[in-house]
Amino acid sequence: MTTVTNLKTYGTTPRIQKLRNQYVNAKVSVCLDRAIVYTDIYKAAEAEPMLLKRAKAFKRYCKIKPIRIEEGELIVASAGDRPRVAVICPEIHAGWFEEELDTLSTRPQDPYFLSIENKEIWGKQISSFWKNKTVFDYWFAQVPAETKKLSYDTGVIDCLLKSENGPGYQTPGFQEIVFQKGFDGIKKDAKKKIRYLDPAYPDNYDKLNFLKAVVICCEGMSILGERHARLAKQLADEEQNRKRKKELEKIAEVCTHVPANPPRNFYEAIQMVWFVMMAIQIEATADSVAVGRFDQFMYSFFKKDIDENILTKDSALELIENLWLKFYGNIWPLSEDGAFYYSGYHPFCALTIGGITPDGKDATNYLSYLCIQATMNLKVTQPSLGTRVYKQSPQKFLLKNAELVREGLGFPAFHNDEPAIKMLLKKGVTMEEARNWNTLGCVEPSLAGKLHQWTASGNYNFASAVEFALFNGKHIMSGKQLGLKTGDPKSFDTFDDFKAAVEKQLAYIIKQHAIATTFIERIHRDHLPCPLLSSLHLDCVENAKSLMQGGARYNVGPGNLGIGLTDCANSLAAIKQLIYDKKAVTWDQLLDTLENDFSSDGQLRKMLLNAPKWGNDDDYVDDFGREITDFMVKEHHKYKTLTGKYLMPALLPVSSHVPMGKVVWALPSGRKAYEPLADGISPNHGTDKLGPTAVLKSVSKINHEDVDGGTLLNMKFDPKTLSGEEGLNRFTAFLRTFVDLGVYHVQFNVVEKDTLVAAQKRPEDHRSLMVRVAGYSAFFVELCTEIQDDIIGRTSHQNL
Amino acid sequence: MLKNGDGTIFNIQRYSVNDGPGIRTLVFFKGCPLRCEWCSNPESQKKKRQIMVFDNLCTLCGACAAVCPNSCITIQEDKRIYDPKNCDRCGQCRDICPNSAVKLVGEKISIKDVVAIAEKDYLFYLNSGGGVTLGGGEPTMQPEFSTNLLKALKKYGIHTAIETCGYTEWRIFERLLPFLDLVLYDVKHINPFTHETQTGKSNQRILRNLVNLLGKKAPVIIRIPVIPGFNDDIQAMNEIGLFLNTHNHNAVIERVDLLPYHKLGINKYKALGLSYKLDGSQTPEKKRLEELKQTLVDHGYKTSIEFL
Repeated sequence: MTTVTNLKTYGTTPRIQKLRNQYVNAKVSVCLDRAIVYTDIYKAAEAEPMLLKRAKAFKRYCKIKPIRIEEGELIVASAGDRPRVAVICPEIHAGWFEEELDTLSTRPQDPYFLSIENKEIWGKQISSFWKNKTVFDYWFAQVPAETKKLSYDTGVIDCLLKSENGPGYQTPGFQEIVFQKGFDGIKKDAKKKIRYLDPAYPDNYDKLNFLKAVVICCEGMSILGERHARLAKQLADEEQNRKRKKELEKIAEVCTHVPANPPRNFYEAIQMVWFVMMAIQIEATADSVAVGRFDQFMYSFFKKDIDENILTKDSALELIENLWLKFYGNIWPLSEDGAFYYSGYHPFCALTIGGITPDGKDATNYLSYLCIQATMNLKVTQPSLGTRVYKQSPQKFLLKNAELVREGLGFPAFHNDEPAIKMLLKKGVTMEEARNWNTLGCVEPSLAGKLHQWTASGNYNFASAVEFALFNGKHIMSGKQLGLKTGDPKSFDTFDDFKAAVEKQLAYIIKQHAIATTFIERIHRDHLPCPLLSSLHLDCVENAKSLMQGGARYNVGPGNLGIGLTDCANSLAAIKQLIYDKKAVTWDQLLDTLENDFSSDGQLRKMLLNAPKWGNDDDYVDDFGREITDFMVKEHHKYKTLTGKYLMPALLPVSSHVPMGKVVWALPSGRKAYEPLADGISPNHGTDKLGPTAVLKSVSKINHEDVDGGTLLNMKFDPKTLSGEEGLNRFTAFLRTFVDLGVYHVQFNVVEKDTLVAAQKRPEDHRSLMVRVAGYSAFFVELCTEIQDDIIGRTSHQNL
Repeated sequence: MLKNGDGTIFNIQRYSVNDGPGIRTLVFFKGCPLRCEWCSNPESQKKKRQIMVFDNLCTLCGACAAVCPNSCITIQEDKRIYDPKNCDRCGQCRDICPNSAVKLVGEKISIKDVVAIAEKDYLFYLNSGGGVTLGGGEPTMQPEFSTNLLKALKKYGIHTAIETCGYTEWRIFERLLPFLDLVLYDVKHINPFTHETQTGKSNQRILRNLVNLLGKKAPVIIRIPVIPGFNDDIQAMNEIGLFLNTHNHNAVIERVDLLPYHKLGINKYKALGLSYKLDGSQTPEKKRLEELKQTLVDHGYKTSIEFL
């Protein structure tokens, strides 16, 4: 527990503290420089192949983009004209951006400041060219009518994620490619390959275009380095302060070398990581571009520099913190709708520590600890730190992680090696590669520089499948027939008849989503190829194919995210128990009360709420969680995608459980219409009444390794349970049991004041919020106001 | 089906973290011989089934009043009035309440069922050094059930502990001890008269049992609730320290835990229709607690303050 006298400084050095303040207080604004360049080049090169058009635009932007070096910073460059600006990509964003011109600066969630000049520039130079030419426009025009009916504006299937966004969802091959070759090296490989491809063969035409595009992008990267080196040199010449002068000279030296050449030391490697992560955003801004196993691919540099006395542990931490701020400065442009659901401006930049090495040894090293320390020091929302744990994770390492959890930031997310490795093996990689997996996006298992795998082309709704089965395919809110006609449930003699109807509806939704997905893939392949991102993956250059042309070594997915598994399982359990097992309720009664959203029968709703619920270690309902998951996996495997082996199953919500809940009517689980669905594989709010061990036991009943797009579990903890040495050790025991149970992922929200305040106002929504006390524990809502106030006060004290 | 050998409990709480080492499952026994005024689990005191009503969850919808066969409940304007006189704890009011504001405390349960629940967290016990703790309420008030439950748990190699006020016959402890890995033993005051004023019973039997217990081998943690005006003074702690020193020949006392008074149970008094006598009391200040802790440390005991 920190004391009140503790000053609120974040970051280890004054420089970092100052930069952090600057970043955190910066008003997020819009940068149109890229939009202008891309519009110009797209116009000028309209007849050229898309790959070359995009590569030329990228290079041109690198050449003329405004650059600056912030006061005191050691790691330089930004995707836009400064940190914390949204770089608008008109080929992706023009649709919503145009609609939101007047509201962008003032909208309630995540506003971006748009200046009057920029607004004019948009209107005069950019806007008109992109009419009906965005990724969304192409997709919308091409997707078949039946699929569109279900996948646009219904919430049953949602495809906006990839139709209003760049590809993302990749981990660049730092170790595999970037650190080996530098961009000059990649360029050399591409040029060599070009020489071998005879343009007389028609098949080679696309290949040559791709390779030429890679060459152009690599040139763009070198230009970025040179320009920053020149600027640093110029600033150094003008600098009076001797210490800063030296630093600027160092920056110049670093940027003269990277990104064109492989890094020679820790400093250059960190700058290289940032150049690459930033450039990917320039090429096409997107969420979920992961850093990968930072503590692994950086360690040899760290060790060498420490041994040679050119780096201290403190200066390494400072560089890492500077890099963390760069990640934090990276902004994800989103429409108003999008920002409401993915609030906070941040594009899920995952960074992985811990786990085992490709040859099966413990992988934790000093850098693993420095990464935790940097996150603890800075308290910013990026990078999204993920810790790999396995049966023999060092206790010291787990304790350090537990300390970070106690900070209440929600970091790190914990990922279990064993199911993750099985997931990778399912994708067809070698055992060695599988051991080298990394986290991506929210929770997904990825493989740096080798695996092409969109986690998601979108989301689909398990709860809608239940609704359709209840009402013979009718979507209550719209009154439309969106599902199949599986019959009136009153005619179902057995529970299995009903379950079969749910499965039929679910299979139909998955199929329609599979169709929608291949169209999104096609549009990305034809209209949004990313040669730079592709070149960071084995074997795109070797195969002379972009990622979307299937150039990567391994191709899986896209995945589609199933939302509301819990609601589906809970609904099935309630129907089985009350209608078929106990015969306490008739179909007429149930359908009637559902149709009027429980307004006529509070008693029946209570019976439904009291039926077995997911998250209480009760096989009666947990079996449904597993069975529906197994069914979903089989259905996904029926569909091949454009580049991948199969449509990948995934059970993680991002925040889609909220919008997806808004289109689902009342459910037999007792959930009212419009309310959010459960997130990931977590229990519905307030229905897990037996504590965290029971939750973990329930979710362990899913076959996690089959869901190779990942599963997500959120848990809440009271800070008290983590206090003191005993609390930390108990927490690690909980984590080790998580590992033993084979659950793939878990992250912890240490309950904060806000939650308690909300619980006080709306106790009915927080039935399961527990407050831990000595020799006694209580459900928060069962305490009187006075005591609740007391606890609220105490918790905020603990959070000081 | 109720069977001989079943026990009466009012809760089984998994992931219990303040009742012995590691992650534990805590079985709350119903019924206690003492009536400590600060008791934070007042629903544990009576052995029979009881009704609790949480006003803050009640919306005064009147469903319970309508269903009650004995007309124990009336709704008046902004108040729900429950008269327990004719109540036979049938539970219909609980079943009908749409807001879960009514709770029935106290249920019969078999050894087999408790063990089945306890076994669910076996892996958590293994990894954390945890196990099962019998608490409550007072487990020694149900000696046959307690003994057989502990025996059944030990058969599966589960670590066992008991939380006890010590007010029972020694022969009952003798039956339990072979199956116990840890005893959490309450000591509230050394002076028998003071003890009686706010717990309802003299402490003679409690201290006698403690002396016997300290002559055995099972590890013991002494737990002292620190109650304002009752025992939150140096002298009271000093007396406890001296008493422990006189009898701790086998050095079985692992630790002394100070449990500062808190009001977290106050709402439950209301829910049970009981009056709360310590309304004006406040949680002792940290400085005072540190002084009391030091007193026990000076007597040679590892002491911790178990804040809320």
